[in-house]
Amino acid sequence: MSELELENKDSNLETEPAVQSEKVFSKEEDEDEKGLRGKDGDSKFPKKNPKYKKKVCKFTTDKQLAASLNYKNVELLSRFITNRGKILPRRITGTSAKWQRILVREIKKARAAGLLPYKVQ
Amino acid sequence: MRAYEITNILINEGSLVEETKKQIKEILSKFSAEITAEEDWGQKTLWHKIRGYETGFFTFLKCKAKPETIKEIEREFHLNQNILRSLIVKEK
Repeated sequence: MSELELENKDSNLETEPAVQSEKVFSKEEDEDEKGLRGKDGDSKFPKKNPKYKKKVCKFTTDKQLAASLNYKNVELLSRFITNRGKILPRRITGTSAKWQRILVREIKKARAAGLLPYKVQ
Repeated sequence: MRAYEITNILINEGSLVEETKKQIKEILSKFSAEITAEEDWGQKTLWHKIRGYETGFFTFLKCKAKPETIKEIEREFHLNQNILRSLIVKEK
Protein backbone atom coordinates (compact mmCIF):
# COMPACT_ATOMS: atom_id res chain seq x y z
CA MET A 1 0.00 0.00 0.00
CA SER A 2 2.74 2.41 1.03
CA GLU A 3 4.78 1.85 -2.07
CA LEU A 4 1.86 2.51 -4.34
CA GLU A 5 0.99 5.78 -2.60
CA LEU A 6 4.56 6.95 -2.64
CA GLU A 7 4.71 6.33 -6.31
CA ASN A 8 1.56 8.30 -6.84
CA LYS A 9 2.86 11.20 -4.76
CA ASP A 10 6.10 11.23 -6.66
CA SER A 11 4.33 11.42 -9.93
CA ASN A 12 2.19 14.31 -8.62
CA LEU A 13 5.21 16.25 -7.44
CA GLU A 14 6.79 15.93 -10.81
CA THR A 15 3.83 17.30 -12.71
CA GLU A 16 2.34 20.00 -10.42
CA PRO A 17 5.17 22.47 -9.83
CA ALA A 18 5.89 22.69 -13.51
CA VAL A 19 2.29 23.71 -14.22
CA GLN A 20 2.27 26.31 -11.39
CA SER A 21 5.42 28.01 -12.47
CA GLU A 22 4.08 28.31 -15.97
CA LYS A 23 0.89 29.96 -14.70
CA VAL A 24 2.73 32.47 -12.51
CA PHE A 25 4.98 33.40 -15.33
CA SER A 26 2.12 34.01 -17.69
CA LYS A 27 0.29 36.20 -15.10
CA GLU A 28 3.27 38.45 -14.56
CA GLU A 29 3.67 38.91 -18.23
CA ASP A 30 0.03 39.92 -18.63
CA GLU A 31 0.21 42.51 -15.81
CA ASP A 32 3.38 43.98 -17.16
CA GLU A 33 1.80 44.45 -20.52
CA LYS A 34 -1.19 46.30 -19.00
CA GLY A 35 0.99 48.25 -16.54
CA LEU A 36 -0.89 46.81 -13.56
CA ARG A 37 1.90 45.32 -11.54
CA GLY A 38 1.07 45.58 -7.82
CA LYS A 39 -2.23 47.33 -8.59
CA ASP A 40 -5.77 46.02 -8.53
CA GLY A 41 -8.31 46.05 -11.34
CA ASP A 42 -9.01 49.80 -11.12
CA SER A 43 -5.30 50.52 -11.66
CA LYS A 44 -5.00 51.78 -8.04
CA PHE A 45 -2.74 50.51 -5.31
CA PRO A 46 -4.77 48.60 -2.71
CA LYS A 47 -5.28 50.28 0.70
CA LYS A 48 -2.97 49.02 3.40
CA ASN A 49 -5.51 47.70 5.89
CA PRO A 50 -8.98 49.20 6.00
CA LYS A 51 -9.66 47.56 9.39
CA TYR A 52 -7.46 49.95 11.39
CA LYS A 53 -7.80 53.72 11.48
CA LYS A 54 -4.73 55.69 12.42
CA LYS A 55 -4.93 56.94 16.00
CA VAL A 56 -4.44 60.64 16.61
CA CYS A 57 -3.43 62.33 19.83
CA LYS A 58 -6.48 63.99 21.36
CA PHE A 59 -4.46 66.69 23.08
CA THR A 60 -2.43 67.88 20.11
CA THR A 61 -5.55 68.20 17.96
CA ASP A 62 -7.74 69.84 20.61
CA LYS A 63 -6.00 72.66 22.44
CA GLN A 64 -8.95 73.36 24.71
CA LEU A 65 -8.92 69.77 25.90
CA ALA A 66 -5.19 70.02 26.49
CA ALA A 67 -5.68 73.14 28.60
CA SER A 68 -8.28 71.37 30.71
CA LEU A 69 -5.90 68.47 31.47
CA ASN A 70 -5.50 68.73 35.19
CA TYR A 71 -5.40 66.45 38.20
CA LYS A 72 -8.76 67.93 39.23
CA ASN A 73 -10.43 66.96 35.95
CA VAL A 74 -11.24 63.41 36.99
CA GLU A 75 -13.77 62.87 34.22
CA LEU A 76 -11.11 63.37 31.55
CA LEU A 77 -8.43 61.38 33.34
CA SER A 78 -10.72 58.41 33.92
CA ARG A 79 -10.95 57.95 30.15
CA PHE A 80 -7.27 57.03 30.13
CA ILE A 81 -7.36 54.33 32.79
CA THR A 82 -8.71 50.80 32.67
CA ASN A 83 -11.60 49.67 34.85
CA ARG A 84 -8.93 48.13 37.08
CA GLY A 85 -7.34 51.53 37.58
CA LYS A 86 -4.28 51.00 35.38
CA ILE A 87 -3.02 53.73 33.06
CA LEU A 88 -3.70 52.87 29.42
CA PRO A 89 -0.60 52.65 27.20
CA ARG A 90 0.09 55.06 24.37
CA ARG A 91 -0.29 52.38 21.73
CA ILE A 92 -3.94 51.96 22.65
CA THR A 93 -5.03 55.57 23.22
CA GLY A 94 -2.82 57.11 20.51
CA THR A 95 -1.64 59.93 22.78
CA SER A 96 1.60 61.57 21.72
CA ALA A 97 4.71 60.99 23.83
CA LYS A 98 4.74 64.55 25.11
CA TRP A 99 1.14 64.49 26.27
CA GLN A 100 1.37 60.97 27.66
CA ARG A 101 4.11 62.19 29.98
CA ILE A 102 1.93 65.05 31.20
CA LEU A 103 -1.13 62.82 31.43
CA VAL A 104 0.66 60.25 33.58
CA ARG A 105 1.90 62.99 35.89
CA GLU A 106 -1.63 64.30 36.37
CA ILE A 107 -3.09 60.82 36.93
CA LYS A 108 -0.52 60.14 39.61
CA LYS A 109 -1.33 63.45 41.30
CA ALA A 110 -5.03 62.60 41.26
CA ARG A 111 -4.24 59.24 42.82
CA ALA A 112 -2.29 60.88 45.61
CA ALA A 113 -5.22 63.23 46.27
CA GLY A 114 -7.59 60.27 46.48
CA LEU A 115 -9.53 61.20 43.34
CA LEU A 116 -8.49 58.15 41.31
CA PRO A 117 -7.77 54.60 42.44
CA TYR A 118 -4.34 53.02 42.59
CA LYS A 119 -5.98 49.66 42.12
CA VAL A 120 -9.52 48.33 41.87
CA GLN A 121 -10.10 44.86 43.19
CA MET B 1 5.46 84.02 48.08
CA ARG B 2 4.40 81.24 45.77
CA ALA B 3 0.96 80.01 44.72
CA TYR B 4 -0.11 76.58 45.91
CA GLU B 5 -3.14 74.36 45.52
CA ILE B 6 -4.27 72.27 48.47
CA THR B 7 -6.67 69.36 48.28
CA ASN B 8 -7.84 67.78 51.51
CA ILE B 9 -10.09 64.88 52.36
CA LEU B 10 -11.85 65.40 55.67
CA ILE B 11 -13.75 62.97 57.81
CA ASN B 12 -17.34 63.24 56.64
CA GLU B 13 -19.26 63.56 59.90
CA GLY B 14 -21.69 66.48 60.30
CA SER B 15 -20.22 69.31 62.36
CA LEU B 16 -16.71 67.83 62.25
CA VAL B 17 -16.37 69.06 58.67
CA GLU B 18 -16.84 72.73 59.62
CA GLU B 19 -14.52 72.30 62.56
CA THR B 20 -11.68 70.86 60.50
CA LYS B 21 -12.15 73.58 57.87
CA LYS B 22 -11.57 76.11 60.65
CA GLN B 23 -8.52 74.19 61.81
CA ILE B 24 -7.10 74.23 58.27
CA LYS B 25 -7.52 77.98 58.09
CA GLU B 26 -5.87 78.34 61.48
CA ILE B 27 -2.89 76.31 60.32
CA LEU B 28 -2.59 78.45 57.20
CA SER B 29 -2.84 81.70 59.12
CA LYS B 30 -0.27 80.42 61.61
CA PHE B 31 2.25 80.27 58.77
CA SER B 32 0.98 83.55 57.31
CA ALA B 33 -0.40 82.05 54.11
CA GLU B 34 -3.03 84.00 52.19
CA ILE B 35 -6.08 82.08 50.97
CA THR B 36 -6.99 83.27 47.48
CA ALA B 37 -9.74 80.82 46.51
CA GLU B 38 -11.84 78.21 48.24
CA GLU B 39 -14.00 75.40 46.93
CA ASP B 40 -15.97 72.54 48.37
CA TRP B 41 -16.24 69.44 46.23
CA GLY B 42 -18.49 67.87 48.81
CA GLN B 43 -18.99 64.31 49.86
CA LYS B 44 -17.60 61.53 47.69
CA THR B 45 -17.24 57.81 48.11
CA LEU B 46 -13.60 56.80 48.37
CA TRP B 47 -12.03 54.25 46.01
CA HIS B 48 -10.76 52.31 48.99
CA LYS B 49 -11.13 52.71 52.71
CA ILE B 50 -8.88 55.29 54.33
CA ARG B 51 -8.48 54.71 58.05
CA GLY B 52 -11.71 52.75 57.93
CA TYR B 53 -13.83 55.49 56.34
CA GLU B 54 -15.83 54.75 53.19
CA THR B 55 -16.71 58.36 52.34
CA GLY B 56 -14.86 61.64 52.62
CA PHE B 57 -15.51 65.35 52.35
CA PHE B 58 -13.31 66.95 49.68
CA THR B 59 -12.12 70.53 50.04
CA PHE B 60 -9.92 72.51 47.70
CA LEU B 61 -8.19 75.85 48.25
CA LYS B 62 -5.61 78.03 46.62
CA CYS B 63 -3.18 79.98 48.73
CA LYS B 64 0.00 81.97 48.62
CA ALA B 65 2.72 80.94 51.00
CA LYS B 66 6.44 81.08 51.42
CA PRO B 67 8.22 77.99 50.05
CA GLU B 68 9.99 77.44 53.38
CA THR B 69 6.74 77.22 55.32
CA ILE B 70 4.95 74.81 53.00
CA LYS B 71 6.71 71.78 54.46
CA GLU B 72 5.55 72.74 57.93
CA ILE B 73 2.01 73.23 56.68
CA GLU B 74 2.07 69.79 55.09
CA ARG B 75 3.34 68.30 58.35
CA GLU B 76 0.55 69.93 60.32
CA PHE B 77 -2.00 68.52 57.89
CA HIS B 78 -0.60 65.04 58.33
CA LEU B 79 -0.70 65.41 62.12
CA ASN B 80 -4.34 66.49 62.13
CA GLN B 81 -6.56 63.54 63.00
CA ASN B 82 -9.56 64.86 61.06
CA ILE B 83 -7.75 65.07 57.72
CA LEU B 84 -7.63 61.74 55.91
CA ARG B 85 -5.53 62.77 52.93
CA SER B 86 -3.90 65.96 51.74
CA LEU B 87 -2.11 66.98 48.58
CA ILE B 88 -0.23 70.23 48.07
CA VAL B 89 0.96 71.14 44.57
CA LYS B 90 2.42 74.27 42.99
CA GLU B 91 -0.05 76.19 40.88
CA LYS B 92 0.82 76.29 37.19
